[in-house]
Amino acid sequence: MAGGYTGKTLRVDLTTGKVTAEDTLAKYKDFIGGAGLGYKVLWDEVPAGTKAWDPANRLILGVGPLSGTGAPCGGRVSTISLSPPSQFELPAVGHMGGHWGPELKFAGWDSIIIQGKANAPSWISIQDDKVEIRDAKKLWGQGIFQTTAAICADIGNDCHVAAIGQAGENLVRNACIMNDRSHSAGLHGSVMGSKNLKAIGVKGTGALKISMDKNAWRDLVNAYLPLMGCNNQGVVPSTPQSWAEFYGSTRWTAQRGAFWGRATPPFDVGICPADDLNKMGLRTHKGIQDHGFELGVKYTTRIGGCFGCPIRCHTAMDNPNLEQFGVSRFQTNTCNGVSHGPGWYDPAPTGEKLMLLKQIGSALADDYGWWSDYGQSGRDFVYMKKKGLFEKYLPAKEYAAIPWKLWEAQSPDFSKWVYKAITYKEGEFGQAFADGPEWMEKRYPEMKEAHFKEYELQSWKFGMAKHHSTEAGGQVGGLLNLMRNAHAQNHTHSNFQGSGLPIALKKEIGAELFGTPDAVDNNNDVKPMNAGKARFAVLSTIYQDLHDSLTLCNWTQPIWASPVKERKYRGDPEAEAKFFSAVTGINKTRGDLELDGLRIVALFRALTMKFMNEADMRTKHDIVPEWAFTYPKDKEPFTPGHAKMDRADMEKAKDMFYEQLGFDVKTGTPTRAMLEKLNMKSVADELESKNLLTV
Amino acid sequence: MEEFGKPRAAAQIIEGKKTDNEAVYVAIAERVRADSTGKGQLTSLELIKPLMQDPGKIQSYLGEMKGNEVYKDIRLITAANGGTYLYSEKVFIRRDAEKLTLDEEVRSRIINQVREDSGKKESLTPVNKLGALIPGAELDKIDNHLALMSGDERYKDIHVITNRKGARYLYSEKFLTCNYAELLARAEANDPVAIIADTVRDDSRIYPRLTNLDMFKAPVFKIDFDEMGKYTSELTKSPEYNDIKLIKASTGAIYLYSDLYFNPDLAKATVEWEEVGRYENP
Repeated sequence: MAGGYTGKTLRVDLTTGKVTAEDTLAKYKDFIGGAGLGYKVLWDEVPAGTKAWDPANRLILGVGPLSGTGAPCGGRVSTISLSPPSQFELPAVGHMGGHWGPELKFAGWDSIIIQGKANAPSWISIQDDKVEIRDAKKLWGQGIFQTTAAICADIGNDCHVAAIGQAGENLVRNACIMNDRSHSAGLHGSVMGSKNLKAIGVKGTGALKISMDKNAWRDLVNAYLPLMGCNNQGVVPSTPQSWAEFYGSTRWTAQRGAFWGRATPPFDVGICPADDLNKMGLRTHKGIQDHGFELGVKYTTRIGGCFGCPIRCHTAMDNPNLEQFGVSRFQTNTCNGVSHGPGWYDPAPTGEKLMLLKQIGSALADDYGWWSDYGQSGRDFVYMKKKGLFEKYLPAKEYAAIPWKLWEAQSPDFSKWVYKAITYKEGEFGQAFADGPEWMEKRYPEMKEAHFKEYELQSWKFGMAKHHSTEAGGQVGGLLNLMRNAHAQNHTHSNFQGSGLPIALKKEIGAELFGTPDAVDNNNDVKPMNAGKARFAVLSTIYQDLHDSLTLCNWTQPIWASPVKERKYRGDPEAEAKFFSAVTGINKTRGDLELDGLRIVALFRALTMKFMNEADMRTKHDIVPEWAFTYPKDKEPFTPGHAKMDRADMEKAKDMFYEQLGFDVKTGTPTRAMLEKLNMKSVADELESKNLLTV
Repeated sequence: MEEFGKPRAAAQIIEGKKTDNEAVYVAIAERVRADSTGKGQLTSLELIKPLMQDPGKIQSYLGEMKGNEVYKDIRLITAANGGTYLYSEKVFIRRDAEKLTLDEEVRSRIINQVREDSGKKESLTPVNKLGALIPGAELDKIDNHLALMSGDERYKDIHVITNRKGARYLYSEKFLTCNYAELLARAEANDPVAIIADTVRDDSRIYPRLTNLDMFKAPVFKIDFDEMGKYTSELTKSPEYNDIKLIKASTGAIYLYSDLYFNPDLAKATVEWEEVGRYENP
C-alpha cells in the first residue's frame, strides 16, 4: 500500500442513504488524487447534459497523498463538480486550506464522493470509519459559524467542519464551502445546497504512513524548508534588511515595528531572516499586506494558516468598531477574502472606513457562505450603477427601495443590505447577483459586451474574473486564463514574477527552467511571444493541477526561486517529485510527475469539451477578451508601460501553448495519440463517439 | 539530492589522499615557511588546523615536529591576547616575531570590532576611527593592516567599502550583505539628496522598480523624513540628478525613478500597479 494514501475513498449516496468505500488506487492511481481524482469521477460517472444542481451531479472533496503527511503546505482539499457560477455549468475545481482535508485523511479516507440528493436537510458525520447521514433541519437556515459550532458541540470540538451557509441553501450560484472559520472553496456551495447537504463534519484518530525512512524524511523536509520564502513565494524582504542582498514588493513584510497590535501583549514580529527557520511563520505580516502598515499593525491579533504550512497567511483581527453593525469584532481571512467588501463602492474609501468595509464584507460573506468571484460581483455592481443599468432593469419600486444613500455614504449598512439581498435572492437585484457575473451576461446583454470589452471590469471570458492574467507575465498570464472554467487562480507564474529578485536573476533562473531568459518579461513591459514563454505557461498549467491533485498549496509552491544566496537564489524544481516519491514510495522523477500532471490537464480539457459539447476549444472556449488587445487605447503592443496584447502574437501564443501541451493546434484539444500515450484511450474513444475528437 | 546544510567535515583531504602524520608535518612546515618568507607574516594556528585530520591533536603534532631536526626552524609564539602563532626561525628572530604578534593583536581587535559592529549593531566600522578605538590602528598604519587582512583567509568576511565622500568603512559579510553595507555607507555620507538619488538609480537599474518615497523612512537611510519635501525639491532642481523623476499614484503616494534606466510610460503603469493593481489582484 502506497504511503500518503489511506487507500479508501468514501462514497455517499444521499438519495439512497448508502455509504460505501472504494479502493482509491485501483481506480484513481493515474490521477494522483484531489482534483485529478475528481475529474476522473466526473468523467466516468456524470453524463454530458447533467446540470450542476441535478442529483446526478457529483461533488467530490478530494485530498491528495501529500496532504496530512507533514509535507510542507500539504493541508488542502480540492472540491470538484459541475460549476453553478459557470454559464455553461462546466466542470471546475475549487479548493480550500485549513485542516479539513488532513482530518479526512486521519479519519481513513482519501476523498469523498457525494451523489444524489437527500430528501431533507442533512449533514454527514465522519468519525473514522463511522459515517452517518444525519438530520440537519436545525442547522438549515443557519450561517456557517453557527453550523460549525453546533456540529462541534455534537461530535466534539476536535472535529473539522466543511459547511455551507444560507447562500448555498438558497442556490446562490457563487456560494462557497467553508471550513475552519476562514478557509473557503468557491464555486460549489450551492451544489451542496442542491443536494440538501448542509455540512460535513469529520473527526479522525488515525495516522498516515510515509514510505520513506523517518530520518530521511526529516532530512528531506529540513532541506526543503530553507528554500521557502514568504506567502506567494516572495524570496526577499519588503524593506532593506541587513541579512538580505535584495529587497522589494513582496509579502515578506516582517520588520521592526511590525506589531500584531491586538495581541496581548502586542507582539513585534521584528526581523525574520531567511536562515531563521523558527521565524518562518512570522515573515508574512498579512495584516500589513492586506490593510497597509498602520491599520495592519493596529488591528492584527495574529497570523494563522493551514495544516502543515510554516508560512501562515490568514490574518486574525480584532476591530471593536464592527460590533455596532451586528457582526463579531473578531474576523479572519486573507487576500480577496477581505478585499471584496469595498468593491461595491466607487470611489472606494480609505483608512478606517476602508478597513470597516473590508471586514464587514468578510464577516457577512464568510457566514452566509458567498464568494465574490474574485471581486467580479463588486466590479459589475459599480459598472451597472455608473451606466444606469439598475434604473433600466430593476422594477422602479425595487430600484427606489435600494438604500442608495447608504451606498453614497459608503456605509457598512449598505454592505449588510447587499450581502443579504444576494444571499436571499431579494428582488431582481438579488436574483441577478445571486446568479453571479457569468449568468449576468445572459440576463443583461450590456454586461456581456462590457465584460468582453471594458478593461475596468477585469473579466476574462464568459463573465469570470481574470486572476493573474496578462499583468503577470504578458502572454504567459493570458494563456493561463484560457483553459479554466472559473477564475484561473493560478499563482505558479505570478509567484515567480513577483519573487522580488532582480530581473537579471529571474531571467537566469527562467532560462534554466524554460529554456531561454526571454521567457521572463518585466511586468507591464511585454515582449513578443517565444517558445520559453509557452514552456513557462505549460509548466504553470501543469503544476496548478498537480498541486490541486497532490493537494499542496499553489500560493507557496513551486519553489522555483529561493531566498538562499549560496544557491544563487535557485529553488528546487524537483521538490514535488521528491515529496511524492518519499511519501508514497512510488518513485517518480520530475518528468514522471509532470506527465501525470499533463494527464490531469488533458482529462480536464476533455471534460470541458464533453460538457460544452464543443470540439473547437480554441475559438469557442479559449477566449481572450477584447480589452486585452485595446487597453490602453493610446499604446502599441510591446512598448513599455502596459500589458496590451497583439492579436497575431496571441494567436502565436496559443499555437505554441497547445503544441507544447501536445494538443491539436487548430482546435486546442487533446489528440488521440496524446490521450493514448497518457493511458486514456477510453477518453479518446468517448470523445470520438461524440464527434469531439478532431485529431 | 543535494545535501543542503550538512555539517562540514573537520578533516582536510590533501590531494585526494588521507593524511598521515609526516604529511601533516610537511604541510605545516610548508605553510609556515611560505608565510614567513613570502608574506613576512606569522601563521595563526587557526590556519593550520584544517591541515589535520584531528585538529584537537594540534599540540601533539607540534610537539613531534619540535623534536624533529627537519622542522627545527618552526617556532611557536603566543601573543599577549592568547593568540598562538608559528613562524620560521630561518626568517625571523624572536624579537621580530614578538613585534609581529603585536600587529596580529591589532588586527584581531579590528576584526572583533568590525564583527561586533556588523553583527550586534548592524553598522559599519569607520576606518578613520579605528585608531581611537584600537591603539596601534593609527591611520598611517591601517592600510598595511587592511592589506594583510585582505589576503588572510581568517578574515575573508571583512570588506572595505567607500562612500561617495571617500570615507572608508569596514563590515563583515557574515552579518551584513554588501548591498546593505552600501546603503549604510551612503547614509554615513550624510547627504540625503545623494542617498535618495543613488538608491533610486540602483532600484531602477537592478530590479528594475520604482522607489516608494516612504522607503526612506527605514532607519538604514538615516534621513529626517520631515525634511523630505526639501530634499525632493533639491533633487528635482539639481542638474546632477536630473534623471531622477517623481511620480504620483492615484492614491497620492509618491514614488521615484531614474529615467536613465526606467521608461516613463513603464513608471506610470508600475506606480498604479504598486498602489492599486497589486491590491485589486491579491
